Amino acid sequence: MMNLLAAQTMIPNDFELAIPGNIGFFKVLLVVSFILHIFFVNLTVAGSVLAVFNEWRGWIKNNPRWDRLAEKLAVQVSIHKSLAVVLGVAPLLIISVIYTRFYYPSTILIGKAWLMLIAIIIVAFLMLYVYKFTWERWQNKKGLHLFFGLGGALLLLYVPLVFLTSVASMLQPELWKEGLSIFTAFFHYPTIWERYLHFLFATMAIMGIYLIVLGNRQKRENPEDGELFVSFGKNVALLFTFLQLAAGPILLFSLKGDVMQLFLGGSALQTGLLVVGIILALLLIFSLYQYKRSDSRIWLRSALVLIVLVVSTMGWLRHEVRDSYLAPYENQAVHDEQVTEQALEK
Amino acid sequence: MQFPIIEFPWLGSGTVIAIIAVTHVLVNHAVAIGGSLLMVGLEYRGWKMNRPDLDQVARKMSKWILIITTTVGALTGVGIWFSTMVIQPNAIGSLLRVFFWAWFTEWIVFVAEVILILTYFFTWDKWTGKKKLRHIRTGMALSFASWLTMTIITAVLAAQLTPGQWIETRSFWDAVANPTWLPSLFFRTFVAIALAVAVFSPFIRWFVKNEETRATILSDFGKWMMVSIPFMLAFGMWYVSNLPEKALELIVWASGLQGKEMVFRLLHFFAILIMFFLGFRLITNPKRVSLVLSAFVAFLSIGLIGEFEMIRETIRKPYVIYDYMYVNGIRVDEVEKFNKEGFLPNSKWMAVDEVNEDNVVEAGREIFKGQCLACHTVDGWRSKRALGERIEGMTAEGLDNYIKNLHTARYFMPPFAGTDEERRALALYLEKAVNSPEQLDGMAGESK
Repeated sequence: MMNLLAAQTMIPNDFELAIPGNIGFFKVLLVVSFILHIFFVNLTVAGSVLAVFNEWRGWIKNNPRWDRLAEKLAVQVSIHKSLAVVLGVAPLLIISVIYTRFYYPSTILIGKAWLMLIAIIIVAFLMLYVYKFTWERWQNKKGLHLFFGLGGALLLLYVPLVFLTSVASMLQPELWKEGLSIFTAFFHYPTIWERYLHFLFATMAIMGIYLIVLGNRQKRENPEDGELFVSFGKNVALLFTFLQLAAGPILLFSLKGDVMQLFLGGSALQTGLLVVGIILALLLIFSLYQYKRSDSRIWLRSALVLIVLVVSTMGWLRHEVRDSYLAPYENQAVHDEQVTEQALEK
Repeated sequence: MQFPIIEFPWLGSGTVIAIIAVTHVLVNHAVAIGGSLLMVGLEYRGWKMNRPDLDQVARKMSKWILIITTTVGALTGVGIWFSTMVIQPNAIGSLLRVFFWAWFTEWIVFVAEVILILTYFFTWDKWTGKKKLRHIRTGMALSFASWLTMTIITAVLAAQLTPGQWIETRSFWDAVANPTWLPSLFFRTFVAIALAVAVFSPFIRWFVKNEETRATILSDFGKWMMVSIPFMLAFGMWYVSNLPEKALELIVWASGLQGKEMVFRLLHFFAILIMFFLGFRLITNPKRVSLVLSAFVAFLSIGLIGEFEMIRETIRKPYVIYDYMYVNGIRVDEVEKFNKEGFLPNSKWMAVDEVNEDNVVEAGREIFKGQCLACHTVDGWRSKRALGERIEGMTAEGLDNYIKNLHTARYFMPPFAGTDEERRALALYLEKAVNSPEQLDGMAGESK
């Protein structure tokens, strides 16, 4: 209660201009457009990481097949990164409009790191272009070539942390603090690292499944390469989907107590969503496992459907986390009236 | 002020946005819009005249257009938004509410644009022979989509300067169909083509080795340039004729040539003349057009577009949304309330809630942050906006009087919004910050 009141002195009043539409509809748009955005973010981040990893592995083991996989991924990254950026416009637009009072302050508080993202992403993308376009030319300069790939990948790995800080800290105005450096902020606001871990594993899991699809198409041109890509994809997908069984609960238990309770039986909607999400994830693991064993197309198809369902459920779930956190602040006006009424009754 | 404030003591808040925005306009106009038009025009010519050499150059252009637009172009575009969000939250937040559906449509066009450029780039080898026309049409669609993104965003930009009927009706369509939307859109369209010719010509001159190829391309470019300049001038005049009277009066001042109107006119006359001359040379003597001339025009036109954006931003003063919101984020209709109740009690994120005997200087500093920092610094690089230079030697009393009448003496300044005590506090802080900054050392919130 004290926190709520203290935070009230920092949460801005809303603009005079009305939100131009139905909030519920905006929230649906937000969740859907965010899922589209994050899908390509996943493919971009994991794609660049795995490109570098595979090129390095091919170099060390002197196996050109890994190098070819890496090159394929580098080309894919150059496509996915543009879609990731452009698809991010809609969710940013909507969150800015309907959560202005929370999202603007939380972002302004890390404003300089936020602005640096522009430069960081430009440099990352340019490095990845160099990486992609010099593949042939720098065959004998692998060290230099890897440097550009690794640089781009590392910069891209940093970016989500800043975004996570703005979306995590918007949920807890009582913790807002001016003058924190971005690295202090990463540790000042709760759930950032837990979200990051969950994101990284999801990124790899989705990339694994993407690799399976890529490998199966590759089989038409080069069956042996295709086979190798598929089996690598299977391992990556299975490992990281399985690891999510740990990363998910870690994130869940990092949530604020009363919000966490909503997902552990406190609210039918939140708990139900979580249960559905977990069941879908378990089914996904089962499908991937069966596909790995049997190589039967039916299990691949099942895994593809399931990953879409899991990502959608989780995308919705994280929206529920946000609204659960913000509910007390949104309701503050109502709350104030009730407090006054109670006082009058006494 | 309702939001936290970030400070850029040396650069200044406005400069941060300007760097990102001008870079974006340059890339967007010269490369995405003008450049893609030149590129697909070249591909079309190559196809019609059966000249694979032209096709090769178009292909090379597409690679660079892809690289530049999907890195610097895309990210500075998002960057304008990123920077205004943390520096001008009131302005961009309000604009997002007014123009939400325009921006949402813009998003769909953006996605189409990205898909088109990727398709165009990755199908050079696939869509040949009978499918060549499909490739060319994809390029045309790309060019059109790029132009469409400008069409939408220009509505927002124009409405900031001339909101027109919106001020009364608050209607979305009035905001979009504002008085300078179409003139500025068409003006920018031809600016984009001329700019693209100017920027790409030196590269063609330098990197295309075959003389015949180069001559065909450059003489085409010259024609684009010669056609664009008259239209650019005509639409430019239409645009200027729709500007608010006070904004019109500020143009020469905004360029930094106040009192030298003749110089301003002559400089711009010659600048356009040189661009025209380049167009003429490109057509009449494409094989031998001077690299120095084309490089000079490239830099000149980059300078001109930068200047145009800076002037456009400056003549809007004292508003960020004309007649609705001042450049420091205070709404026109809030001033009276703040004068009566005070600025500090109506703000959040300020270190103090009111002025009292013990906190006068600190209160003054918070008011400075809330009302001046959007444009001014104490000792930043832009001397015109560094108060250390502007008001050096003035006493608190003198400043107090000056601030009281600021907006009438200099109408491009917003009025001070706050009580008399608050104004005195601001004056006292400014006096100390400018004349004896060492006295402020150790004060809470004081940044060095």
